Amino acid sequence: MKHPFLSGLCSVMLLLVLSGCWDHYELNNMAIVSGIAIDAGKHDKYKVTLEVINPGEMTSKKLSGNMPSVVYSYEGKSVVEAIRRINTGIPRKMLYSHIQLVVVSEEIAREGLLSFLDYFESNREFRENVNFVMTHGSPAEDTLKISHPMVRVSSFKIVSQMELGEKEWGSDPMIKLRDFILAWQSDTKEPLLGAIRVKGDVQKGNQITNMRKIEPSALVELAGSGVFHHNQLLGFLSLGDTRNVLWVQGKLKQSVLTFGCGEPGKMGSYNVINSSTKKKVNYTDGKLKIDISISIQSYISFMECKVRLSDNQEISRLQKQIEAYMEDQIKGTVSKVQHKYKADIFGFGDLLDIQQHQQYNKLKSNWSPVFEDADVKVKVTANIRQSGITTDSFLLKAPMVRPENEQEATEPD
Amino acid sequence: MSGIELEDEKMSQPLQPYAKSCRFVLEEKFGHTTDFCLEEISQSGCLGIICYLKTMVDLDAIQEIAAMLQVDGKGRQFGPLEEEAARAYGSRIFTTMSLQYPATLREVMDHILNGYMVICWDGLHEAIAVPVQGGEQRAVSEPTTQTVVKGPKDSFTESIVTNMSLVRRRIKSEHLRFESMTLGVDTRTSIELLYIEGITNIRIVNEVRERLGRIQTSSILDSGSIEEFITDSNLTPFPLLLSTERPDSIAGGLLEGRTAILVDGTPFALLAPVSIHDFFQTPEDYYLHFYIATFIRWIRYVAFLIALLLPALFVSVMTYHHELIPTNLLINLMAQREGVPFPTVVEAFLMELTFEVLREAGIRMPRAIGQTVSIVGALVIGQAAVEAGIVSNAMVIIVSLTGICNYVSPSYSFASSARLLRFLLIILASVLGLYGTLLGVVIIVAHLTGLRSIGVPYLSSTAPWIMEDQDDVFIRLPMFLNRKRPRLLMPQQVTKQSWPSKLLGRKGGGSN
Repeated sequence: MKHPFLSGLCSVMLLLVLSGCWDHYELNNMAIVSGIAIDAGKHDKYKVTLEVINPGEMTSKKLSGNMPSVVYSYEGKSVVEAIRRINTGIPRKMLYSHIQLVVVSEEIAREGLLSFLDYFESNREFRENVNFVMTHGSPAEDTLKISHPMVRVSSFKIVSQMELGEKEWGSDPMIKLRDFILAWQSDTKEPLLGAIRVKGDVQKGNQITNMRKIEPSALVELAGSGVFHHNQLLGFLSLGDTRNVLWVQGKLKQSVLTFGCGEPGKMGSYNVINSSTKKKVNYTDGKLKIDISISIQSYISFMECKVRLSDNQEISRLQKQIEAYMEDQIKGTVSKVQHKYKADIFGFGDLLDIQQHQQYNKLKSNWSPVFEDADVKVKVTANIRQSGITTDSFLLKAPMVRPENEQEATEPD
Repeated sequence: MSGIELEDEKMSQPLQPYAKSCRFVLEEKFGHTTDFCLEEISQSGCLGIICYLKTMVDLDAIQEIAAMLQVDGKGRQFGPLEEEAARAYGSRIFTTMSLQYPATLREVMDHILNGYMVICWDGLHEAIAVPVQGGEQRAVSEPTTQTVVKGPKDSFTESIVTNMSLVRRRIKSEHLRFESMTLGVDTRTSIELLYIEGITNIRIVNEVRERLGRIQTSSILDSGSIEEFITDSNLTPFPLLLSTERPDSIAGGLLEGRTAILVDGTPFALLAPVSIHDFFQTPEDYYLHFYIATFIRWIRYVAFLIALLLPALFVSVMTYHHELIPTNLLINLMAQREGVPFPTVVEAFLMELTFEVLREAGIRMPRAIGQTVSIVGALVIGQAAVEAGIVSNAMVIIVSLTGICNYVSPSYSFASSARLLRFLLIILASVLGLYGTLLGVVIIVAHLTGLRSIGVPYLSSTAPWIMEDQDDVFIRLPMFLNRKRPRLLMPQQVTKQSWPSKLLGRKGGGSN
């Protein structure tokens, strides 16, 4: 090679070819992991279950009626080892960057065996905004094994349940991996984690026939949330409590309130369409004072009592009812968390850090008793905007026979 | 070499006043070519010759002139030293014709070759050249490569005289200049350099003229050969001169302060200097509403980027950056690639090459078969290859989208640059992923920054940034706001119109 320019060009081209390609993978040789479940193993410390998508079954053109996803489990001394050795059973390179869901079992959470999260955080393939959830009762792997005709990949189904649950009612806190790790490493804030459970028979649910039934034999449903102290599960909150926690945190935008409207056995239902939460914390005289003020916009979706909705005074009476009911509910949840778990899942400590940094520095090492003793005030301002597309309900005039077996309904917990 | 020089010397000597000697030399020069006609005429004992190339002249005109010579019955006797005799004689017989009086053999030959009829009489020191150009030529028709929906529908033809008149009819200004020159030792092609005195920067005109003068070649058959001779750099896939067959495009360029080069024998004229943005503009931009024109300009930029980058981006995302694809799309793509035997990059190359082959075949095929080729090609690529599982559907979509986007470009030669660079980028993408693609783009931009067209930076108006020119680059402001000529051409007269009176009236609170 006499020409210096040509030889230089050739060596540069060689450089490109020789250095590149180490992370080159064709899509044919890869498999998308949609969800990961972590249980305590029988033989080893962990049992890792991966849900892998079978892409041919996900496109309408190539559909042949097989399962759209395959689940495979492997045990290992650590999660990393189990994940790395998963190819003992699956013939493809796993693609982790599209994981939608990480599920841990209640057992793992109770024992606090969550250090493996370090791997998820430091690995370049995993996303930090992956949805993180725990099971209530059932083994984590079972949640990935239950098929459903609408969203055929279990992980995708659980995630869209969680998203809609948070948005429409407030039944799931939608915790991402990053949120959990941030709360865990915080001095005062404690992690909250959404919970799911399997309802029905897993053995029947993990077959394709589960998708052919009108009422599937098994179903994964949302089950409130779990309260942690650092990495250890303390206990569970019901769906209603979870909603109230979200309300205090200011994450909730929409929900439904249903409670007795004054007349015996009769209910009123209100759709909350917008809500904003303001919190103030103040540490004076050795006591933490917390002011929570929530203002909501709502409309009446259903009213059994004979209330003339065209009357402004009646409306303001109903607004008072909502306020009282909500204050009561939210106070109940906060004091339950305060006294039963002593865990500041709301993030009041972070607020104090911003508002009274000096005090916070003194208190942060021993936050739990301060939080427990805190004086919580809840103030709700409710505003009723409308009553659907009618003003006065037809129930106002309609004659009605009271059913005998009607029970005092309460909000689902 | 010395023989040729001697010959030249002989050719440029003054003409001998003897028709016989002229005849002898011309017959020797033209040899036995069948289209060379030489006839002797004699009147009152005075000998003369008329000669012409019958392939270059209008034979009817020859007949008429012959008749005129017959009518002129007066005896011809020219004294040997009558200097102005030829001119007097010529203007007497051929009134109103723009006659030429070649005085050397070289000039006589040039005139014959350019379709004049030359008359030599005994005793005249100058010949008389009568313009009788004719011969077959194509009529002015619609442009074939640069069509518009709205706007003038004429285009240049192979005849330079027609082309000149097409430009002149658009610019009826005494400042429009045509400068003729003849290039090519064998073809002796007429070339016209066009500019507008007082608008075009004189240094640009001088530079172009000088570069044209430097051309030493045997033949010029198309403006493309001129382009390669006078361009600033040949080591680039990008065209540095704009070639167009639209007279309105040339007229527009001249009025902005550019020079144009017309070449006899080709409908493609050149415009110089140009910047890269001129390849994203068409004359139609100025005939449409400026909102639409601006929008279409953006479409062209986007389409160029797609034509250049899309296959490379697709290859890099498919082989390296799976995390960038939305999950559902990725599942879809995976399902398509299931069973495809080649790596993505091989698939891309295969399809791109097939497309290029089809495209070339479509152009070269006789018109009658062209239809079949395109149908077979589309079927082979689109249906059969996918059904056979050799390529994935997504790749067919990518390649056809790229191909279609390539056709959006108003300039054929500029679109070709994207065609070529696309392959380079695909290789880089297959080796280094998005990083490689970006690297390639950086190299291309660096290369573009270094290019110049007749000394004007190729990226100008954006790099270097010229704020004043931005009224007609990425957006086209309405005509009344576009008051200045592009500053990058340094025109002698920058302002082309004053503020419209309507606007001024409004500013002054007038009743308008």
